Parts: sequence; structure tokens; C-alpha cells
Amino acid sequence: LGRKQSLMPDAAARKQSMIPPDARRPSVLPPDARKSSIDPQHAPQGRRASIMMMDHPRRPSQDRKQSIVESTAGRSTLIVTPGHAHRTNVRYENTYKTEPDVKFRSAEVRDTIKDIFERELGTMKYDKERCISLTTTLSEKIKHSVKILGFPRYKIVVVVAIGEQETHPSIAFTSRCIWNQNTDNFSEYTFKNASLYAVGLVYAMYMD
Amino acid sequence: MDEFQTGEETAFVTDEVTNIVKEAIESTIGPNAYQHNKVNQWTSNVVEQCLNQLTKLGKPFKYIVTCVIMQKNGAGLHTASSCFWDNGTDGSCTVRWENKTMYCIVSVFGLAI
Repeated sequence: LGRKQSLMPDAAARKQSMIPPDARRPSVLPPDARKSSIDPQHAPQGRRASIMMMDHPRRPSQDRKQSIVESTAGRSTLIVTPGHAHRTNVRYENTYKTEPDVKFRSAEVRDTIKDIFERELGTMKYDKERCISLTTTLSEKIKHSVKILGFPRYKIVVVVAIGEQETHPSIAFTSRCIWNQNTDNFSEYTFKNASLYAVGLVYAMYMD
Repeated sequence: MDEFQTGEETAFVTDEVTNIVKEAIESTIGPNAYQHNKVNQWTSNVVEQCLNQLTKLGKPFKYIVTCVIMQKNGAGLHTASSCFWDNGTDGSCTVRWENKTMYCIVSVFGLAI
């Protein structure tokens, strides 16, 4: 019931009003009858208000319609602006560029991984403490060089695994992806020396 | 009129994904002992099951799932990953599982479309 009161054009003070005050049609209701417009019986006196507000008792479904009616009259109950005031994520609109300019070249990336592994690992022996930091630095290096190669609009995921070489193979590495077959790809290289093996994987997903 | 998608619906939810992965591992290799000739099949099954469940979530994501199964031989293994993506919407989760004879490591990367 208090909502009807606020229909009166004192919304100049209210920032949320979508229609500027001067563009709004002035209330037909005489000032002294304003206060009494709370009572539905008085409203038909000077104002032809929306039927929804007058004739029907307040029901939940009607309330919603009322808010739309009120927004057209200058008071907004819904914040319809695309501003992300209550959202932490900023979603960018689709650019509809479904095909990449430069496609991911897996052979080139494979050579890059190979170079990095051979340079960094070479004839290194497997050492537990060293390998912990080595995996992270290697994955950073590979990511960096793939970025330099320049595949715009691609998201890159690099996975590096280093393990001790055993006489009997006892490890299985599998991966599957849900992606767009036309634009996304991956590249893989396995490096082996006497005491260790290293697997480098690069996945590239196109972001449209 | 506008659909208000809160941030949570379009961000990567780690807990949900962790549960899915755990279920997949346990149903595929849970009670089994390491068998070299079956390992390939197991990894494929784990990955396939994970992907099926993830697509059922119905979120606008591309997924990468990797699975490593290793026998408990005393050998060491280290993995690391580095990603170039959108921090707000994309995420990853890794689940390590073991039984008496083997280790299983599953990583899921989710990239928002």
C-alpha cells in the first residue's frame, strides 16, 4: 500500500528512476488528495490509475504486474541495466569469431617442448627435491614459449610429469577432452633418458 | 527479462567436480589390484566416466581430463601444470587416490566457453 504513495513524483531524489523527472507526466491527483490515495476508494477521485492497482485486491501475481506498471511510470523496481553490480564475474559478450585466424600448430609446439626438455633435462639424474621445482619451472617455460609462438584467442593448459625410470613400465597416462574438434588441439612429447622420463602436454582451446 | 546468472553458475565448482571424479575412480578401479594388461582400459574408463558425468552437469565448459595410474613400486612421480586462461571463470581440480597396489591421479581442467 505504501507503494502507491511513492508513485508521486518525488522520485527526483531517487537515483533509480529511469525516466528523468521532467519527462514524466505529472500526477493528476491534487496535492491534498495524495495522502488519501492510500485508500483505494479515494483514488478514482482525481486519477485514472491502472486498473490493476485499483480494482483488484493485492495478490502476489498482481504485485509483479504492478511493479512493471510502476516502472513505466518512472519508478524502477527492477534494475535492468546490464551493470554487474551484484556479480563478481565480468562476462564478455560473444564476439562470434568462431574460426581462429591462426590455428594451433601442434607440430611446432611439439618441437618447442622437445627443445625445452632437452635443454633443461639433458642427462640429469632423477632427484626428488630437484624434480619438484623442476616440474613447475618447466611447465612455466613451456607455457611461456607457446605464448611467444603466438596463438591469439587460445587458452593454454600445460601439464608436465617427471618420473623415475623403471625397468618394468608401470604407469599409464590417459587424457580425454571435450572440445571443438575444428579449432582445438593438443601437443605431446615424451623425453626419456637413463634415469628419468618426462611427459609434456600442451592443450590449446580456442575462445570465441 | 534478463537472465541473471550469478557468478557461481558459470564458474568452475571444484567440489562438485571432485565428487564426480572420486565416484568414477572408485567404481572403475576401486577394489582391483594393479594389472598391467588392464591398466589402459581402466584409465580410459575412468576418463570416459568423468567426462560423461561432467557433461551431464550441463555447464558451458570445455573439459580436459587426464588420468595417471601408477603401480606402487617405489618409483617417484611429479606432475605440475601451468595454465593460461581466465582466472574468474576457469578452474582445475586434481584428485589423488590410492589403494594397496596402485596410485591414481586424475586432473580435470574446465575452461569456460
